Amino acid sequence: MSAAQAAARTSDAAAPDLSWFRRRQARTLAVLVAIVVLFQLCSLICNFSLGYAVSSIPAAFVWMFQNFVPTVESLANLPMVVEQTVSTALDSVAATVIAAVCGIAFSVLGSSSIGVECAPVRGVIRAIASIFRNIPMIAWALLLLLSFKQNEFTGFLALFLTTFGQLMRFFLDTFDEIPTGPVEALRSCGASYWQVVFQAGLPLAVADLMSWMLYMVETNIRSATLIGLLTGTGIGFVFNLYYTSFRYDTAGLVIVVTIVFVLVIEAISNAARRSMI
Amino acid sequence: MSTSNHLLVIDDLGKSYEARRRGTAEGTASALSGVSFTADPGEFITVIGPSGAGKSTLLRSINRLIEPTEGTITFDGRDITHLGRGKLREVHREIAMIFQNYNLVYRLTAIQNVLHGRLGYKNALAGSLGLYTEEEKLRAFELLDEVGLGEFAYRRADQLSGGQKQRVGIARSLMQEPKIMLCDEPIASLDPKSSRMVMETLQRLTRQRGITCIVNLHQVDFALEYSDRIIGLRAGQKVFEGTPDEATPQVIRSIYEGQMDEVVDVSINAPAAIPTLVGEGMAVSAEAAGGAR
Repeated sequence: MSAAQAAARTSDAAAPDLSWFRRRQARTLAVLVAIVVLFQLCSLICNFSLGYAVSSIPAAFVWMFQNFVPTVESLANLPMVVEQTVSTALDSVAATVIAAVCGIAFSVLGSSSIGVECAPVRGVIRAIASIFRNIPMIAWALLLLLSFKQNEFTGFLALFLTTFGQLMRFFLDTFDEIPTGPVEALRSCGASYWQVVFQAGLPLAVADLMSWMLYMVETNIRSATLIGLLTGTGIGFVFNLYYTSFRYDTAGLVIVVTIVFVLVIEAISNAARRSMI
Repeated sequence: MSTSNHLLVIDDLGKSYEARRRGTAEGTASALSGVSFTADPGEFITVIGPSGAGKSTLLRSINRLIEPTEGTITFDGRDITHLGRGKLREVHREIAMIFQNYNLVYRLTAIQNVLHGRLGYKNALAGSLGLYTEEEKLRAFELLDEVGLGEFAYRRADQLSGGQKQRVGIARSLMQEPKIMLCDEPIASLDPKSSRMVMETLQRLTRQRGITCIVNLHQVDFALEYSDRIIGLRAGQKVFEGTPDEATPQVIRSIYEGQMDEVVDVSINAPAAIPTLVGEGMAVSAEAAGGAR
């Protein structure tokens, strides 16, 4: 629009109210100021100094590299470390896969698109998912320690329960979002409930379901090391053992091996994802 | 009205919704009321009318995807208005449906989608697992060939064009061996050429098999060209029923009367539709003519 046209437009109608833009800018500015003030206030209360925190980071890294870099002697522990990592990884894969199978079953029934027709039942299923999800994994591990003591099964169960809750959340969203058209089409040609679930619901959702499951496998391998600290099993236990006995070189080796494993699993699951699209 | 000879008898059908929102008037909003008509084997019937006239509600009420609130539906001599779920399933396999958005399971192949037409005949387990008999598989291939898509059998549905998807939809519904086919705006998302192809496929295949076809259409010129009978809906009520010859421009104007938005809408779909509607000629609109070339 040319300037002349713009002028013509403003002259024949009432001048448009442009103060909206100013008010909007003022509000953005106010929010920014509020954030800075809030940060300063919180820092003051808990004696946090941003400058000190940032300046101490390099020193911390230097210390870490000096102490945690695996030494030649620590490499003797490599077979044991790898074995424990593999065992932890397999444990978390098993927990995730079983959680995914249960999660799919429950979220099919609880979804709004292909779920059971009784709304209260769907509500109960969603509530169960929410409860499992909102109890932190560490809390599960501590609770289960009381009844199952320190063994691999405790870790497995803690992983399974949180993963189940978490995956159900993702799976419910996935099923809720599948297109309703194909579901309606199959119903209209006389398909039964389970036929609709298996022939329309699952095929439409499966790529997303698998993608979420792989994501949880990756996350759980990291979480499993943490759980191992508590349950005294797997790679988490090994790390804790060497760490608390000041043998940082082997503890560092554990970290390196874990990182390598997570990267490998991530690469594998990315490849799996690509092949499923 | 005699129910003995007609395949489908719709009598005084109506659908109203409870007004739920607070602040709106108490009572019910009617989407469809007092619609009656019959359909005989092999008939090609189109339902025209402005958006919101109740075309879709009418079609979905016939196979009770939407539960009608008044009137009765008699299909093949049997009152299906209040059938329970199990019995309704038996009826559903004889009433096929075609959709505007094709409604294929897009992650499955064309042939799998065609085989879905058999689900109503299969037990829960075999159907769920997709275990079809050799006969059913061969039949699905035949039908894909008939709609001209034999070579696309193992192509995933989302890799097909709109017109191809709709023809897979037609093959799926024929797989049901239906007595009647309900088509909800089957060509509304298609270009003129694919539209013509889909309409011709529909007409040819239903005629060969003596299947009754009830089609909701937005394109008046297509309705005039393909139907044996036209039903005009306006504001949920039947305002016209007759042959294409009886559907004069005046009649069509009256169906869309008081719906200026709608006439504009039609003109967007088919640039030459307005002259066709208001002029004296019955000439096929430019869009349709373009599709024929």
